[in-house]
Amino acid sequence: MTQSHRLAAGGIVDRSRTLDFSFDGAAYQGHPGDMLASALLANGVHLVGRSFKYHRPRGIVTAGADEPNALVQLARGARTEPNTRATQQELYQGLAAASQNRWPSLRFDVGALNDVLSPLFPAGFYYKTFMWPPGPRWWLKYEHAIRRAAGLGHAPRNPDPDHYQHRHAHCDVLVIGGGPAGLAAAQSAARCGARVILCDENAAFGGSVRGAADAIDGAPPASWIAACVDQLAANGDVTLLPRTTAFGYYDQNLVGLIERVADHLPEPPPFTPRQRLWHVRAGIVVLASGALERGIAYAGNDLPGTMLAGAAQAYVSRYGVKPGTRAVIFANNDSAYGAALQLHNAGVTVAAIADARPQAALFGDHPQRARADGIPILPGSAIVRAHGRLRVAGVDLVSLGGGAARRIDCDLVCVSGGWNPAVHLYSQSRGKLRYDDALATFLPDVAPQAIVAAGAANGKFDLGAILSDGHAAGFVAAARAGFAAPARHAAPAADAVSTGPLLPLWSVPARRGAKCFVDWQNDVTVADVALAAREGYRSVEHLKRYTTLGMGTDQGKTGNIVGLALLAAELGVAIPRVGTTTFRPPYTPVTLGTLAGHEAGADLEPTRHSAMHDWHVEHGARMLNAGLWKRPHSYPRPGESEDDAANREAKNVRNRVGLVDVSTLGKIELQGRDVAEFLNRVYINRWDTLAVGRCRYGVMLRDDGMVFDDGTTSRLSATHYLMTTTTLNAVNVMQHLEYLLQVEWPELDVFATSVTEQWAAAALSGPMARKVLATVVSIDVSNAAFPFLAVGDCELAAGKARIPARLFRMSYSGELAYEIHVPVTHGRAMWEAVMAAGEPFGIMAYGTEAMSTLRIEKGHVVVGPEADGRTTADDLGMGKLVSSAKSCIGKPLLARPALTSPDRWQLVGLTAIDGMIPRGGKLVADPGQAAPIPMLGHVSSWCWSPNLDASIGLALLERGRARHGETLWAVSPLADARVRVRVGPPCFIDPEGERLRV
Amino acid sequence: MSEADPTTIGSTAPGHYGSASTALFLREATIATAWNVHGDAGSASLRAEVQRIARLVLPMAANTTSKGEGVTALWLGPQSWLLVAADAAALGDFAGARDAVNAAGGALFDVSASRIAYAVDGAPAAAIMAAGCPLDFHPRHFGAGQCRQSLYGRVPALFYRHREPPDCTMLVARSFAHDVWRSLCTAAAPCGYTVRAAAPFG
Amino acid sequence: MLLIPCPWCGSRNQVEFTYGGDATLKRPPPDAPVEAWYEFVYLRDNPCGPHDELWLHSAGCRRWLKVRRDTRTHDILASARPDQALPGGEP
Repeated sequence: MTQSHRLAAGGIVDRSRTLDFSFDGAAYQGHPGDMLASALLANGVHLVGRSFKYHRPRGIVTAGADEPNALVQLARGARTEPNTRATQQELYQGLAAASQNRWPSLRFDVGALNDVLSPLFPAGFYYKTFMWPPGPRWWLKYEHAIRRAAGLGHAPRNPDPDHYQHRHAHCDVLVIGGGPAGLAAAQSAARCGARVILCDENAAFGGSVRGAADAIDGAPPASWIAACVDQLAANGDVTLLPRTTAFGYYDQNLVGLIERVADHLPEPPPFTPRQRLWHVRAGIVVLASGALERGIAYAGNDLPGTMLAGAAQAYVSRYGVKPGTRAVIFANNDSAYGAALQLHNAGVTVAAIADARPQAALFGDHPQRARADGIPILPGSAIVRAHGRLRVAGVDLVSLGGGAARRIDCDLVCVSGGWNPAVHLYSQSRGKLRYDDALATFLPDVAPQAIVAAGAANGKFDLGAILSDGHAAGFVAAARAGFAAPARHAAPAADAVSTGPLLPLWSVPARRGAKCFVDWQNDVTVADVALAAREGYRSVEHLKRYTTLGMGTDQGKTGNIVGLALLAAELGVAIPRVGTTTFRPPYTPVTLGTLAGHEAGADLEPTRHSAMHDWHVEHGARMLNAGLWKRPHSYPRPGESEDDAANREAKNVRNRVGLVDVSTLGKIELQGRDVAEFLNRVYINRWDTLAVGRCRYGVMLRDDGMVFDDGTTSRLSATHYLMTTTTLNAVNVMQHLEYLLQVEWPELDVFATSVTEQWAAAALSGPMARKVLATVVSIDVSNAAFPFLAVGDCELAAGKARIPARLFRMSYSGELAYEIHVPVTHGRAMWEAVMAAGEPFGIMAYGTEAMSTLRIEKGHVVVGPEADGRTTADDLGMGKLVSSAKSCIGKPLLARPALTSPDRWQLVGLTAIDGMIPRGGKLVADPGQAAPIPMLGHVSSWCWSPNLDASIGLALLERGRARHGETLWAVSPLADARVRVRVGPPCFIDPEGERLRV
Repeated sequence: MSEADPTTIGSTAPGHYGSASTALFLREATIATAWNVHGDAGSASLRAEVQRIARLVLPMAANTTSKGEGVTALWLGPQSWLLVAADAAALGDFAGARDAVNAAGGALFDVSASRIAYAVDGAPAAAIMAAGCPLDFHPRHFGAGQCRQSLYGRVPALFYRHREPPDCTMLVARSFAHDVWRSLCTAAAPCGYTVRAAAPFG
Repeated sequence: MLLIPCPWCGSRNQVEFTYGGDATLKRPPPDAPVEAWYEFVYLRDNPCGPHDELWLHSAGCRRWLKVRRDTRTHDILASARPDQALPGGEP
């Protein structure tokens, strides 16, 4: 079949080239410039899908974003996309599309049985039918079948091969819609010097006048559009975005745009994103989004071959396609006459125009021209019923004054119930709408944000009025953005067209049981709306939920106003009293990948690497996430498991010496006269006694008295201190200190800055640590010269280089240990130098797993497992640190009775008597007793201790310090584990701390 | 120029990457010294001390910078500035400078290794910045000699224009640098870009 | 994403800021009765309408600021330094 319905001339398609495509496996041809829908119509294909609920055959209804029926599955392997609107999918060579919601085939669909059984499926049938018998078991049984029957298309099963980008943009004036109003607005705003972004959902600008027969400034629209676009493109302060939909309007004039960069191609070119999400912050928005035509409900108004009149006109004028051979037009306004004339001129027989209005209303230019062209016009009449099975074959016309129906054969019905301005984004901006009786629709009224509507979106439907409205809106917008208009410039002009009034008509009464569709996509009928009203759903929002009117991918663009007008009639109130449902983003569906943008897969979050990262990876480390940081978990040797590696590393620290990367610790430098006073206020312990060249461990509380963070602070000079924080809390502690200094205590002379990024840090731990260190640093590190908790600057020899370094004698492992800090740029050289110096002493790098084992053996708490936001310093065995000589953050609320109760959960150590302590285990006295078994505490940290040859753990246990020596059970029903444990003090190794002071 | 494989987006080796166009240039701008000055902007003694140390007048207006001999001062906040030098000799000994600034009632922190700077130049530079940053890079809003702190993706970044647009330099924390560089390159690949050898900041 | 006027840097995207809670709270002195501390730490109003909040310009100048935001509309009505009053006093 070779484009049986393509006209010989006209439209914007390029007839010199053909594109091959397929639909449901059949091969067709179209032209560049075609949409999939226009190409299908050019081949005489109207039947493109089955409806959602009744599986009724459906055809192409619109020529744009409002399409309810022509949703297809694009087959592109992993790129497959369901619910693609055929009316907006540009044709490309090799496009393969399939219809949806049918089985086994589009022409014979088993689900169509639902249509026969439809008395069983009225509005709300889910809620009524599946309420019985009561209880969730039955719902689950039904749900399986319902879920399979419902839904359109199928989601891709493979990872998305495409990438997506985001782009921030700023402009003085954002013009949404590049039709005549938008182009005129962009032109006048740009002329004022404003920075303009103009977006349009189509591949080319021009909107409804593309290919139209009108004249603008005395020339065909195409030449006016071209001149306008050329002029805008030449302006460096204008950004033109075709194939771009404004989908959401957010706070402070932030508008989301989706640019379909490569959807018109079989696949994106190399390096090119498939789609781009624009975050546009606009000074003011000109909404020139046009208008959407609405239907009229009558029996069988969903048969393929039924179209909105404006769509039929667009297929003829824009794409050079005859959507049928013999048409009946059904209208209540003048606009459909434009379609009638266009069809007539293209050689389509217009069998009749059934116009609901009386003869007296048909004085407009277009009805007169139609009459002059000999098109039969039937005033005061309506379609009462359509005939046909897979395609409309004829309609019954009646006079609204009464009388018998008359059948007219046709293969195309063009309906126009009037036009609704596309006010979606105006409403999303919190703009208010007003009901216009003459147009029988809602128009933009007032908006709290900076937005003006122009053209058809503003209720203007005459081309001349649209152009001058857009032209004026551009100047208004530029002026509100602070740009004065240059010398007055005339608006583009078009011939005035006289138009008769519209007669509101929402539905035509039908015989009982006939289906008159309001919302094609959701199969909502006039009877459903009436049923909802009878059952008490008086709010339009409830009507929506009960009937599903206005849901789905088209969000009721063609049916909503009709539905609420019918509800108003049922309730006997005026339409504005019923109002509209809330318009929410997105205007048209948005691909999730586009919202995610770059932040997907490995780039889900930014990652942080220490200066030694590459060394770790080169030496076989398995890297682990710690916040945003990548840290080495352990360094397994060939054939060694991660656990074995961690045990080897932990043992080596106790017996010889190890090196661990601690660059991720938060580091904050403090300077000023009042640092000691400030530290006194933020830490529980005293700081005014800390000498230069010394460091001290400190604990911070939150205002509610619970432990917030811990770390060490060193005094580097009289006025210069360095605080360390835990890796996970580095950002929070910095923010906390800044809050206190700026908001609470601005009188303190303290300046703070984060230096986490400045210093690479490594901890050298183990009995051999001093011997290793002495070979690389320039200072005396003997116990006498550099005792426990000493701090000092030195140089570290790395080959021939001398690296400036800062040494700290502190220990996390409980062994003799030093922390070495060097500027990040020297981090790897320092690490390699220490590893080389340690080689004769058996040094091994160790990871976070061994570090964790070592600290559990020592009973050191960490933020998270032990300091879990519910524990006080006393719970964790650090009550003695709380200075009685001063107050500090969190101390006032520590005196509350519940925080001083002897029954609190306190930190203890656990040793397994048999088996392994289970992860996340609960502590109970007797797991055999009847449930509920009282829980006495929980395991907070656990490990295999290679140094004790035992399964040990730390736990928070009710009255824990009084239970040392008791035997309890650690149970984990999830892991089906119960293990006897002996309770003891949290420190398992060297409780006197002699090793770290040697 | 080396024969870089144009498909290895994210490589730091000099060469051409991505699409064929050659209008965009990325490189590292090397920093030898970076000191963070904190203090009361109204303090004459602090300003005088910084002038003695860095031979420049601290910029007082938000989002502005000033230049001395080999040193650039960037406004970071009402009490915070960043002194940047590409040559270590331009700023001298840290401890002495810190004690002098402390004595003048301010603070001085050595952050020389904290940040890495990437210079982006060529007509598409603003679009590449806008791929990750919510700031407005239009010359009317962000001109030569101005700086601003914001984000690139989710990573804090300091943006600086020492010449007329489109040129722009961004400074990011070193631990994030590999990630930001890859993001920059991914954003630049559709239009094509050339990685140049590192050159001094300024 | 809101547009928040930083008193120092100018209007910036919300992503540069970190929310810091109610700006109308007054920290009691350390020796205040436990009830005063209880109120400061735990009790929060949930106003419908203008609300004074603390925000930190965390990816900008790292200064805390006061922001008056209408909780119904997300309109940002004013901003100020922490030591300054927002125009018109308390909402």
